[in-house]
Amino acid sequence: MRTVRIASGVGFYGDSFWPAIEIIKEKQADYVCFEDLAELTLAILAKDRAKNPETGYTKDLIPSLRAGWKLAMDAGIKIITNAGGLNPASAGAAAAKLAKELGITPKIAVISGDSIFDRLETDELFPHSETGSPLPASIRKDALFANAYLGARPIVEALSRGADLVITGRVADAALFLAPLAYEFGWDFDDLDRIAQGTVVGHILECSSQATGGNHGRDWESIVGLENIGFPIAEVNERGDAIITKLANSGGRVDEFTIKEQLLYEIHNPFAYQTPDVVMDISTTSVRQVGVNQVSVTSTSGHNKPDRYKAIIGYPSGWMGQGILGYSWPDAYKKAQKTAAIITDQLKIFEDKVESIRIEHLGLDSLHAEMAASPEVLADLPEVYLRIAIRTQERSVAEMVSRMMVPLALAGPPTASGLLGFDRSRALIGLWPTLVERGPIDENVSIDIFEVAK
Amino acid sequence: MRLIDLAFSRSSDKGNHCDLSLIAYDQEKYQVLVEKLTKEALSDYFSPLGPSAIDLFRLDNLSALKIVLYDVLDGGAANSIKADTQGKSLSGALLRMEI
Repeated sequence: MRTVRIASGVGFYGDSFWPAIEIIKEKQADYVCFEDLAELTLAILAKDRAKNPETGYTKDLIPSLRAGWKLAMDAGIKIITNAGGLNPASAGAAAAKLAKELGITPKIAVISGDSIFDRLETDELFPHSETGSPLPASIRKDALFANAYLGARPIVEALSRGADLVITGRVADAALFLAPLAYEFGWDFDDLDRIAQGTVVGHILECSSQATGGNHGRDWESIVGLENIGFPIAEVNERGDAIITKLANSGGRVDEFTIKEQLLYEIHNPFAYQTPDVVMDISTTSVRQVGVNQVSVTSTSGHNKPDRYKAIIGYPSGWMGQGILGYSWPDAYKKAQKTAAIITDQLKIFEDKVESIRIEHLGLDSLHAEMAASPEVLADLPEVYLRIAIRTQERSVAEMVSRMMVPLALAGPPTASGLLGFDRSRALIGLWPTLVERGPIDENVSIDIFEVAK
Repeated sequence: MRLIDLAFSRSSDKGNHCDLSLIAYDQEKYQVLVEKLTKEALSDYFSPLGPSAIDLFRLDNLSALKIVLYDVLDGGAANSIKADTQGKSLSGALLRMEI
């Protein structure tokens, strides 16, 4: 039976692309898919675009193409990426310019139409997908971006038109990987089990090294070669049955447990995981080790094709101000508590402009917070870092937190040291999830092909 | 015994909710999890975080449980003032739970 090999390019904006370049060099994939867009990535790209309308795509796109695109073109490997972010058209133009420089003649497909930003000016309600409440006027007015999650079909069309590189905006993560499988095997999008199985393969690959031993909870110390970790590669047949593996000379591990862990990642309801192409059920999925660093994944079920797409509207949600200050033994914890009490008291001058205050101690309870370990260790801590963070709508108030902590080096409890992390302020961004009818979105999707000539 | 003796875990966010996987080391340990780890016990254990609801799903085919804690991330990733904005460390808190 014919198989197609798809590989992970990156798992998020900021990930290393070098493991993918190794896969391209060794010609161990037919498609490499770069997944760049987490829920909050569009917020980062919105800030870039506000400064310069020619930006809004990831800054890693061009460097990663510079490193691997010519090799990929020579080997006939196609690249699919949602790094276009909020501006796939400019990303496509930048890629075309790079192609000339590299002396290659690719067909570049740019897929756009995921933005619903213009529709915020209409009287559409955009009800919250969990609470059902209509989009408040304040969010509508101040929104930073509004994008629907597209599925795999526009990418399938781009590939059928001969694209060597497909650049998209907000396409659902797993759909980037489903698309080349559906294209190569001619899958019908009404064949729900097959579409679900292809989506599962994408889900396992979309977070790169999280499938190959990175961020792995079981016996983590026994995983060797994290400094040279390999990204996952799936060898998939026309039924959608996949063997997940990685390059033989790379670090990390692919076993039953690393694959189960990524399969279950962020899936919420495993009986009904919503994607743009199918509602997926992994309660039938089989995960089996079949060799060294080889795991078979088969038998996922698909229930129905959603009639609506998920969309996210991002909006400014105030400011965070924070300061971090260290104290040493003796009485490290008590000193930190005292400083927290002083700052909390001083913040009262801002009255209700301070919406919330968090007091955390790095190394003690900053991560597990209210769930942190029992306090018997507190009396004799060698040192502790106090973190105070506030939420407010006023940037000037946010900036006062660290400003207020600085004088306590002299005016507060003894041994204040290590004046680290005095952020002035950080913009907070809220996300409003909603569901939109797929019809108008699909009609608005455009696929533009650019042929780069010598 | 603690959950870490039976299983490993990874957690992350979706919006303001924390999504945790609990994957048993083997079939026998999975059976113990299924018998002992109830939604009520989870609800008590995680009450300091004040979740608005908890989901617990059983996946016999993977010897794994899926747990969702609703509204525990202070607004979620880009909107949270917690140090752990995405609940990535709550897997560790779960594994410390006694059953």
